[in-house]
Amino acid sequence: MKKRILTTVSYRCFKFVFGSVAVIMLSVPVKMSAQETTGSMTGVLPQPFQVVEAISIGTGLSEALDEYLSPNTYHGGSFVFRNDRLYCSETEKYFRYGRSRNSLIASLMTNEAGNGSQIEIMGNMFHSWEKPLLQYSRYDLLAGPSVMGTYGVLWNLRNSNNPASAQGWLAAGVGVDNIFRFRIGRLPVALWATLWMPLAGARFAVDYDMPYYMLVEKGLYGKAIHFMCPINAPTSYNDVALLIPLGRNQLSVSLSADMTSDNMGGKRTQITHYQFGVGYVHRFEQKYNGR
Amino acid sequence: MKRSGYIRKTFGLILFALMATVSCTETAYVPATFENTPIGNFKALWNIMDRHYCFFDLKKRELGVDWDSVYVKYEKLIDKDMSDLSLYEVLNNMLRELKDGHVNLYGYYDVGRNWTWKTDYPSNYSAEIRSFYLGNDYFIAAAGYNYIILPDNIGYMTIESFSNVISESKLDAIISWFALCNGIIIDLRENGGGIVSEAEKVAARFTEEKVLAGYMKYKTGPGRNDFSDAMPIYVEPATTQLRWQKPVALLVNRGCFSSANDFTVKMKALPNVTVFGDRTGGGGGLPISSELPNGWSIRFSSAPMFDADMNDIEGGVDPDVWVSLTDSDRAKNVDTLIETARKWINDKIINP
Repeated sequence: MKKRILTTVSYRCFKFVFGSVAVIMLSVPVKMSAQETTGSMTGVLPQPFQVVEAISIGTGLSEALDEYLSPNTYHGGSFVFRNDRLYCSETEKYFRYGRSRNSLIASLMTNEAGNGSQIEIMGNMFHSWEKPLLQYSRYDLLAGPSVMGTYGVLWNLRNSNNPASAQGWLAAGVGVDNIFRFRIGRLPVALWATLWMPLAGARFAVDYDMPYYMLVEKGLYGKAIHFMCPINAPTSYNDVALLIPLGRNQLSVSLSADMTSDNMGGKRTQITHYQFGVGYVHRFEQKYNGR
Repeated sequence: MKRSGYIRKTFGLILFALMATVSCTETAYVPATFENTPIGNFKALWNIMDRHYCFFDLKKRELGVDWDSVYVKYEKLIDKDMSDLSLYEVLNNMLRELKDGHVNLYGYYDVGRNWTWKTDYPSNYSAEIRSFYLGNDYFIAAAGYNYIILPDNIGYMTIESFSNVISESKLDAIISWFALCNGIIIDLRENGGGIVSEAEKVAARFTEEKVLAGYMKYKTGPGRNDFSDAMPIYVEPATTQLRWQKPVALLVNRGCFSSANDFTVKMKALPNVTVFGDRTGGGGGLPISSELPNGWSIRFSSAPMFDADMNDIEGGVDPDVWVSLTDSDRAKNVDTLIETARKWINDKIINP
């Protein structure tokens, strides 16, 4: 009982702290200088044929409900490795920026009674083609269509006949990047906020109690693949990173929150992560756009 | 400066919208959870079974179990101050009404179970007598896979469980060893099941062609009759490994459950196989697991299986030849089932 309370309380505390830090980051006292620096120097936006790459690791809390495995919600800790890239193409007139993300999340969670555990391993591969919608000396808003894919597994360590639930979807959606440049004292910093949201795609979700044995035996019999959209599978990935100069590169301190969910095949899945990450950001030249 | 303020406000609003997206969508699906109280756990268990258990119709038809009446009967026994042990007893007794060997409640104190499919019937089996047939020099291919050639040139092998994985090369070794035998007796008695694919792997060694062995349905929704169409299950020949083409006698008893029951259905569908003994113990539903708010784990049948004639196999599979272990044979340390199978194979040599 004590463990259950601690798990729940720690999860709620983390969400509170997460929200608070986000608010604090928004209200950081900002000094606007008369001579504003350009985005390419202190911010995130790459110059043509440049790639800005952010590599970060993070840790945080996870929450998973998968009714195929259990009607109960599991809570626990997670570890994430993430690679973000933003490149600029001079030849592309419309979607001038390319944005990609590859990440891998591993979580270990327990049920509220503290006597069952679940492992999650999830990978994300996103790419979007973004157009500058707003561009000021201090602020850029990029947005555009994206292709997003997620793959992974939830493994319940005490279920014998239905131990695992495969997770996976491929969708078209939108990617939005906000880049805000300012100074803290004399230190030029940037705030980079990102949203990825799938809008339409295909999601793997077995019909209700369909045994995976039948999938192996029969292939994709029944409804193992469903059409997904924000109504039956609200999903979003959000993060805010503060970029601080570090020599010729930048240090990133980020908060991210993501949620994937679905209500398909007569059962529900909902996986949420809240994570704090640190990493470094560097830029390099590319001969070909982003490749 | 005014423009800077505008930018900050714009950025702030967008950032707020991003964070709000997660906060709002996180509560999009509030699970229908039950409280971790005696009545909450009782309701959770009843509801999990109600939505996912696959044999309510069969149990009502054969045992007269009405799941709604079960709720009324056992709800009266739940008290908010009852101990965990008392709660466990009530929940376990509720599940026992179904008399299903695949229904288990895993609590702190015990694993709730129903073994009447086996204990209410004669075993038709004696480990001691079997040991006389195996002797001391039998081979062990894998755990539970023991084999030897009997004096009348008949291969005899046991499969005590499908929980243990046997490699294809070891199955090859068994068949090679039996290559010159006139037939094989597979003693499946007391095999309580295990991994379905293991049963399939072994059955695939005894057919030359793809044979329809049965059907399976799975639940497609929470209604008690929400099932998919029946999907055919075939036994397909092992393509790259050795296959046995001579007669096979399969010995079964009430101790054959779950995967062993499934193995019996598959083998019975093959033309060169004859099943001897008693009806199998059943367990014709593929089980899945779930859990209660207090963390107790529950396992139950979720996907019903049928034989090739769409007969339900939850209650067991009948043999081709009914044979019981007689008292007179038992007194002489003779296994009636093995002897009957030996005679059948020897007769096959004379009258193929």
